[in-house]
Amino acid sequence: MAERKRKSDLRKMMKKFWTNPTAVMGAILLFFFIGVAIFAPQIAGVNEFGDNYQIPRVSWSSSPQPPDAEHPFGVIGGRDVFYGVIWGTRTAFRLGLIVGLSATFIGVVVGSIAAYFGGIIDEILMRITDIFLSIPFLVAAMVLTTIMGKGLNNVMIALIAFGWMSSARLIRGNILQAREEQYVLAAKALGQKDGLIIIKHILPNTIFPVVVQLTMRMGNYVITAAALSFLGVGAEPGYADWGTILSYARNWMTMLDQAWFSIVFPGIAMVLFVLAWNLVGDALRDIFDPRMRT
Amino acid sequence: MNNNNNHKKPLLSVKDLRTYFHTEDGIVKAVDGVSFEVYPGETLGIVGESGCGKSVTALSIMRLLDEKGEIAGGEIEFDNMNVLSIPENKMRKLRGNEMAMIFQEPMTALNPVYTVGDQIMEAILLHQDVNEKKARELAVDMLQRVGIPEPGKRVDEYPHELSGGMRQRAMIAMSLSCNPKLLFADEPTTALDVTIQAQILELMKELQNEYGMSIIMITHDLGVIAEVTDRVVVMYAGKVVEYADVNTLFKEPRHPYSWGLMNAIPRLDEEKEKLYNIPGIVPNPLDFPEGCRFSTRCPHATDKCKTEEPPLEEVGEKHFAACWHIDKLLEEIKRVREGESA
Repeated sequence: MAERKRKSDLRKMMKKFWTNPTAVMGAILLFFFIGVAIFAPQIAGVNEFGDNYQIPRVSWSSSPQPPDAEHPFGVIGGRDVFYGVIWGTRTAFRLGLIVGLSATFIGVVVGSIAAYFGGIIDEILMRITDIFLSIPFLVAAMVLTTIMGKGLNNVMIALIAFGWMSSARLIRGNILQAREEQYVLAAKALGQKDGLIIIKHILPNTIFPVVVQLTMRMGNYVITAAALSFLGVGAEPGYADWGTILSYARNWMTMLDQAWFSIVFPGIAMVLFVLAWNLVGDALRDIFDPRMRT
Repeated sequence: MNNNNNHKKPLLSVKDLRTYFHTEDGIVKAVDGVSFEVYPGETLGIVGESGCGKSVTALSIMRLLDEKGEIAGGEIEFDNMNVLSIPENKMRKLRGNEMAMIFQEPMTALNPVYTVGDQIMEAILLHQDVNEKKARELAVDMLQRVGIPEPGKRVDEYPHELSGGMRQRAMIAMSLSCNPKLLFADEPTTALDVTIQAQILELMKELQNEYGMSIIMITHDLGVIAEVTDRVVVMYAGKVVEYADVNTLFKEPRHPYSWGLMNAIPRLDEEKEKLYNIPGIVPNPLDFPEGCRFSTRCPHATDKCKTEEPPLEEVGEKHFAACWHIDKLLEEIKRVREGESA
């Protein structure tokens, strides 16, 4: 019976979601990207000579070839842009999800420990957070990837290492508020353990803003990773990643009329990807908020 | 209910309890030398104005003070155990199981994201060795006992779907689900309207008869005290000023503060321009007056009161009060009561 009740709650929330036009638009865009990612081999084919995430070389000429029937998004640096954009969708999801979830997880752990125990523990953890926040994000990520070497995995590590602080602060603030609620005292008076009080009573009342923040930032991580790739400290050349394709255009910056397609197509993909997550995040904020759930 | 406690051993005995809060402005002596006993099956009332240390006393006994609070002295003996020396993990087993608490605001004391049933089951699963299905049955049974109609349906409802009175009943169900020996009721009826108040008090009395637990009723409402308690501790500014049987307290108050509280109750059979109130406010806990802490508001205060602290002395059988000028108070009471009967 409890199950049934929860399901009907879920259905109510879903209904709210689907009657919200921005949510629907965001969801359609997101599903579109998910579809592209899943069916990448069917849409763009596979790399017959090796790793699918390596954009196959289609020409040894260094000059860009504008879009034509065989290469609908053109060719740059000898690589097929269409293949790169399609397979790059998978990279974008992988990067966004792994970085987003890991950074949020670290942030939630740090923030909730700091807030719940307070005192000296809070002080130490929050000063560490401040130190991380005081380092310019892009510079720090660049330095880290330079030290660890190129490659998507190193980019992700750098993004996680310098991306957890805002969720730590957000959850800490929310918990400090929730900690004063009487139901926390009531749970203590029932003899509940500290750890379980955090997990069972405090987090469910504070996690929604973090989920919304995570959704909103999912797209931003992809943009930042693209920026790193563009600057030459991101994924290896030839990797199916939107930023990598952009970076090929770097050499043609003064002759953009010849290389426009290597900016426009991955650029559109990125803008729509960020837009999709932001729209979904906005909608989730409206729906998840427990104070608006009646 | 239980006036013959001479031969019984108290369930809870608090001796000279001192709870201090370390704040940025200095040390707040919220509870400063409080002693009382609670016998099995009785209801002890703790009465006093806001900020006199009633709730802090309860939280100290359950050891639920926040990090700023510290028990600076005294002894708490509960069920032959020294509460202050029990390790935290054992203390956790006592909470909810042996001693439980109900709160003033049933809305905020129930977690909005869980159903009422979930929260009662949490208490049961913590302390009893049962599976979830059984815990659920027990939860429904508990809801039934606290007088919630259709408990099988209500068990799956969220706190916001219940009315204030229902929530407080659910809260009581939660705290009684493990059959505690001692129940703290921290202003359980303050947030409810009067008709519901009466129902909840009635329910608590019934449950006490059924389960035989002791109750510590914390309130600022002498009406509640008169209705449900057996013995009463009157607290003022962190100290016990009077400690007596409930009937004795109302018939023969021996502290000007207790007398003032009684006078402050509006009565239907009198016509008055203005309701009586005790002049002044509770002193700042950072800076309590020397001597008797009530001296700043007491109509009978003399120089002695402002310098020397009156001890809590036996003024009658099982009746204690801390006042230098009980004689003056007695005259006042006599004058007022004669005036009434005339």
